[in-house]
Amino acid sequence: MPNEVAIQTRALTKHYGRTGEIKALTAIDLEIKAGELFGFLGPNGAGKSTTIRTLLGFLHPSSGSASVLGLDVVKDSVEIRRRVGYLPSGFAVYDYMSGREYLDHMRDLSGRPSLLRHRVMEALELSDAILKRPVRDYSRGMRQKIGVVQALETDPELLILDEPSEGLDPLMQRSLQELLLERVAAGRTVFFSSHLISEVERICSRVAIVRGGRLVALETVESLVRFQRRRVDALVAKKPSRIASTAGVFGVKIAAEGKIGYRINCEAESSAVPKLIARLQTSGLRDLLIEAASLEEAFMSYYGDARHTSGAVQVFPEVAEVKRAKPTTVARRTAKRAAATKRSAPKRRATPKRGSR
Amino acid sequence: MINLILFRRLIRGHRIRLAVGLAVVVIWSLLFPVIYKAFQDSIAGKPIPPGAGNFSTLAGTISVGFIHPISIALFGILSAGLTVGALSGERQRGTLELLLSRPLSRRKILLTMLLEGWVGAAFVSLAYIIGTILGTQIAGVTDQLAFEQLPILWAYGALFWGMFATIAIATTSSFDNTAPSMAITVSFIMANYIIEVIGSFWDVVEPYQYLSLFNHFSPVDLLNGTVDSSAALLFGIVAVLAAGWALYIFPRRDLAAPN
Repeated sequence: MPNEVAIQTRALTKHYGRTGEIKALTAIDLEIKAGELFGFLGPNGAGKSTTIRTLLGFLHPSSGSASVLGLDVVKDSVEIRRRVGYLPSGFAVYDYMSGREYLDHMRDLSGRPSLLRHRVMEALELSDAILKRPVRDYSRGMRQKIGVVQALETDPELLILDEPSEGLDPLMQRSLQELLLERVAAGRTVFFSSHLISEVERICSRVAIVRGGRLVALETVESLVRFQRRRVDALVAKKPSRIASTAGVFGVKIAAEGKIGYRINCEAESSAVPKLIARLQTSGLRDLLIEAASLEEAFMSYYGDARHTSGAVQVFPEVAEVKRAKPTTVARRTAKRAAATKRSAPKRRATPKRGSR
Repeated sequence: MINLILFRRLIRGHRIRLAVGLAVVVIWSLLFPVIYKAFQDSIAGKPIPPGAGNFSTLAGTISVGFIHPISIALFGILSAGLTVGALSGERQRGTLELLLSRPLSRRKILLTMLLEGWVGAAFVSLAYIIGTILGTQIAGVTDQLAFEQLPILWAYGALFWGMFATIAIATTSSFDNTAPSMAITVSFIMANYIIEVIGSFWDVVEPYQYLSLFNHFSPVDLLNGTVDSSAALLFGIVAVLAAGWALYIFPRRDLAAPN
């Protein structure tokens, strides 16, 4: 099982329109191993749902191929759906049913017993009393919980979840993440798309980033983060020289200066950090804070880079929105991230001893 | 071919519409024998004006009831009305996605939904006949009712409205919203009905009456023992063509995320 491939796509392409002018997916190559917890990132319109819908046979590929659990998505769609649990984005239910009736109905249609219903209900704090109520009375979060239960309860080999945390509060998001980790520990495969980068960073082993229907990154979370620039905040005694010219160091600026010295802010690639520290030490390093990069930064680097603009902006207005909003979005996220990082992200603080100067 | 779990859910979803609608059809249809009895003597022997129904016989009166505009609305709601929003409605509500995520082929889903429309057509036809029998009992004219012809009248009624239910499934499988499928289905039924009605009193349209499917459905002839099997064949062909289109188009459609 560990070496089996759960999902594989080869140049998977989906174009709409008479002449294929709307490029929803272009040559997507993915390979997800059985037992992986795989995150699929991208803003609205990037192609996440299109990929998922193609894997489940709702959409027919324009070209390329895809297989799920070793079965062809076009020829063996019914068999694939027998073995897959699915939660769509914007999950909708039959309002005239109670929660229990709905779950029973979906389970009966799947033809498999509900092995995990009580476990999932417990994790998501869904009681029998709630399930007896008509679904029309449910809040959005409650409906989403029902959606999660129907996807997980039959313990499918592969879970395909499109924005599973949508509408859930942070506590329930955490419970859901633990449930997904449990399923992976039990040998199941989870493929899920999310807007919550922190969620993907926390639980996924690998991640793919799509942009304008193209795959722009497919890496382990660790690798993606490793190659991101670190933010460096240093306090030095003397006005530094030669730091800006250090290869791999960017945006060097003196944020403050006073009696205790100069506060330097810059960004550095991970490979440049040792050399930067060495140069800072020559200026009398007194304090140093290096913030670890996050997956969000990795994600934003793919969306903030002008090299990746081909086609996407014209086809997907949401992507254009991201680009136009970039300075504001980045500023806002950076502020949030800075607050969050101070609380939780790993930090490397180096205060050199006097003797070492 | 069909999925019984899905079928049960579809019937359950429409149970109130079916129960109320069928009760209304029974009440509506029992009025016609009563009307016949009430006006039997006053209209006996008088000429029938063009376009008017034949109320001078029980069979004629029952026939008028079968194709009365109110009957058309009731029969339509309880047959084509069940299928016209079957797929496009699920799609519009966003529930089709979860249904398609189960191990059911699109053809199986479509045929199950079509079956509901035919069951509705069969029940509404049966309800009309039950109402007619009750009406003849109330009016005391059971001796004038050709009971032996009632099964064939039921079968033709079910086939006729089952055909419209199939046309509705063909339209619903072609669109993402119920509005266009509803518009096409209702327009089709209305166009057929209008040609039939106008042709019965306007000479200009009369030569084209045969184009109307209503023209081939004649309850009075069926009750009088004249069974036109070519009409059944016509209804069957139209239904098969519509079902063929639905079975062709629905599995091939790309079902993008609902808006």
